[in-house]
Order: sequence, then C-alpha cells, then structure tokens
Amino acid sequence: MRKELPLLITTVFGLLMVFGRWFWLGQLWGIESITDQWIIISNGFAVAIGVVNLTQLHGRNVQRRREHWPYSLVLIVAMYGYMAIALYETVEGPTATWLYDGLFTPIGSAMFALIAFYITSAAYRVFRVRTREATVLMICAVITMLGMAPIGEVLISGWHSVAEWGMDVPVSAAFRGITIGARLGFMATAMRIILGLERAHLGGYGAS
Amino acid sequence: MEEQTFWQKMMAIDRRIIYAILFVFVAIVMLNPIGLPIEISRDTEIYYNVVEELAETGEVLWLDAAFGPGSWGELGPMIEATLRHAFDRGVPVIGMAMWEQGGRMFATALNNVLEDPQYDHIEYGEDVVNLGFRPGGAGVVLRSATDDVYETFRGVDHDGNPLDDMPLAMQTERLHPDYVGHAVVYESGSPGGPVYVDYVHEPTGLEMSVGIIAMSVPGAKVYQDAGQYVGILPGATGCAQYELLIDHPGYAVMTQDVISLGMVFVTLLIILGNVGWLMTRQQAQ
Repeated sequence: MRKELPLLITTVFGLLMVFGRWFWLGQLWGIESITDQWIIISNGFAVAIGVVNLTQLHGRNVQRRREHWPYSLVLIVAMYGYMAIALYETVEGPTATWLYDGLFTPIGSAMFALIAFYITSAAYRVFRVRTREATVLMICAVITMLGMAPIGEVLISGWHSVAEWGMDVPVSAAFRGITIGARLGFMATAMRIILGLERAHLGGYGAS
Repeated sequence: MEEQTFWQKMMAIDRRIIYAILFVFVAIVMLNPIGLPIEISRDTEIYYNVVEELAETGEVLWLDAAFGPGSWGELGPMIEATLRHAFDRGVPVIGMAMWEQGGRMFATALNNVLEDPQYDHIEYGEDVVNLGFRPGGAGVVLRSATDDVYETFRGVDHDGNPLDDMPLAMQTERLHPDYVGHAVVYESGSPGGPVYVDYVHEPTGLEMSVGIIAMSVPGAKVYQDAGQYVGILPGATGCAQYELLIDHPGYAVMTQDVISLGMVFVTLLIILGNVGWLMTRQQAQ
C-alpha cells in the first residue's frame, strides 16, 4: 500500500491536470483553477517537510558530534531563530528586516562574487589546450568573452558583431537542440510517471 | 633535490596569490575608471523600444523579480533603470516576485529610484505597485494569468497594504493582454522566464521580455529566436547600454571597465597558464 497509494494519486492527478488543461470539459469545470490552488498549498507542505528534514539531519549531526557539526548547529539556530523572530514581529518587522538586509543579502552577494575568483584561478590552472577541441573551445571563449564586453570593440572594430553572431547562430542552434531534447525527455518522464512505469520518486530504484 | 625552473614555479603558484592579484586589479580599475566606450547592442535597443511602445499605448508594464541578493549586482540596476524609463515616459508598473527574496529586491530598486527628487510626482498605488512574493512559484503566475490578481495576492501588496486602496492594482485584474501591455522577468535561475512562456505568453499571447544574468543569455536566446521573448537585456553590459539609452548612467556603467579589464586579465592568465604548461611539458620530455 505504501507504493500503490502514491502511484494511484500520481496517476489520477496527472490525468486530471491533462484533462483540466487540454480538454474543453475540463476547462469548463475550472479544474485547472482548483488544482492551481492545491499546488500552492502543497508547496507550503513541502517547505514544512523541508524544515522537519533539515532538523532531523542536522540535529543528528550535532547530537553525534559528527564532522563539521558546528555548521549544523549554526543552521539550526539560524533557521529557528529567524523563524521565531519573523513569527513574533512578521517578516517585515525591524529585527527580521535588519537580519535579512544585514546578513542574508550581503552573504548572498558575496557567494556569487566569489565565483569571479574561482573562474580566474581555474582559467590559469585548468584551461589547457590539450586537444584540438579544447583549442577551439578556448578560441571561442576568448572571442565571446572579450567581444561581449566593451573592450572587444576598442581592441578590434567589429569584434562585438562577431561575438554577437556567435551567440545568435551557433550557440543558439546548439541550445535549441539541447532544449528540445530536454523537453522531449521531460515529456517522456512525465508520461512514465503518470503511467506508473517510473517509480524513483517513491524512494525506490527507478524504473520497474 | 633538483631546483625548480621558473615555469615550474609559475605552474605551482598558490591560488591565493591569483585571488590577491585579481582583487588589487579590480580595486584599481574601480577607483580609477577608464571610461571605455560602450556600444549599444541590438538586444538592448529592442528592450528599450518595449517601454517606448508602452508609453504610446499607456498600457501596464509587469515586472517579475525572479532572483535573490546574489544576482542583485546584475539584475538590480536593470529594474532601477526600467523603473526610471517607465516613470519618465508615464508607463504604469506592477511588480511581483516568483522568488521569495525577489519582493524585497523589487522594493529596494523601487525605493532607490523614488529617493530621487525627480520622481517626487510618482504615486505609489497609482503609478506603481509592488505585489511582492506569494508562495507557489509557477502556480502564482498561472493563477494571476487565468484567475484573478487580487485573489492570488490575497488582496495585499508586498508590505501588507490593502490593494483596494490602489487604483492601478484594482484595474489590473489579470496578467493578460486585456490588462497588461508587456511582462518582463528578471531571472537568475528557475523559476524564471520559461514559466511565463508556458503559463502566460503561450496561453494568453501576452508579449514578454527578460533581463538576465550574462551567463544565462545563450539559454534565453532560444526563446527569442522562437518569437517567445521580444527582448533580452543581457547582464550588466546590457544594463549599462540601457542606462546610456535612458540617459542615466548608473551602477552598471560604472562596472563596465572592471568587466572589460577583468576579461583581459582572465585571457592573459589563460595564455600564461598554457605557455607555462607547454614549457614544463617540454622540459619534462
């Protein structure tokens, strides 16, 4: 029953979504509007499950003094501390706002900014022209990198146009192929889930 | 023990030295801008014309901040520049956020623009509204398009103020071409523009554009080629071009010298790294 019930729910609701969106009668009955609200509610439950899961996982890390357990403690304190403050004074309250603006925003920006340092280091240490393909990749990367920035046009007139053509034509063509392939795969997986052939989401080992 | 050659030492250089050089390099360029000329790209012109066309029709511009603080450096100035452009041209703006942090991102951009005395005449609720974030991701967008904006946002804006007091919000019943002229998604990941393609553009025909971080531009081009995105504002460079078009050079223009010379620095490192690698390989043979 632990497998069959979720499978049944998945199949019924998968078909219901298809019926609500693409069938005239489904649209007339407003099924999509009802299921949209259920999606929002189930997202709320997903967050709650996430909180419980994080607490169990990191709680055990702290309890058993596993490696890097102080980080787990920081996570638990931050999660419940902020939650308590936000529940007490709402997320727009002065302390919650101060914590968000003073901690979360700069930490988020700093994490993203660090990528520049990693890219620079990787460019020097890893980007090697070992093969013909790697050489082509490097030449394209340099043309695009400098061409899309103002310096490209300063160095060679027309460089920007070349870089833009590269983005518009070969890159776009490759990306379109990847996107179409991914969407077809997505549709196939969705069909397999609806038909009960794909069971990895139930915690099993993939296809039956 | 055999003494290391120059190139062997270069190849074994501590990464912290590279970090330090980059930091110093960026700091010097930021403090002493060169003022490299910025050429306006076709994409930025298309994006600029979107707002210009809305100024002629008087339709609402719908903005979605689908990003967090990590992408503020690239996408925040885009929202600020778009708000300035819209306010200058009398285009009403409604903001919302698919990302939890996006509501605050939009509010920060709006506050930064409204601090300028030039926009003292802008009335919140009449000229601009920030609906903020509601949990549900794509479901919120879908409901706004097919159902009712007021109900979707529980009748309150980002700060919890009632929408009943905001004529602009009350007039914009749905995220639909009957009520909105154009939608722009500022995205740094998922959910982002494709959600609007699936749930707004395709079912309703509402035209849309995206402001996007530079490294995601190739993925967005696919949608533009297919006619689903009208315009793409690509990264800080696109934003700098847009700031010049609206005649208000700001943060993005300031960063262009750093980006340019940063790219030169990375290119030099790639060349140096490869020369070093070839030399050490030859010596080893």
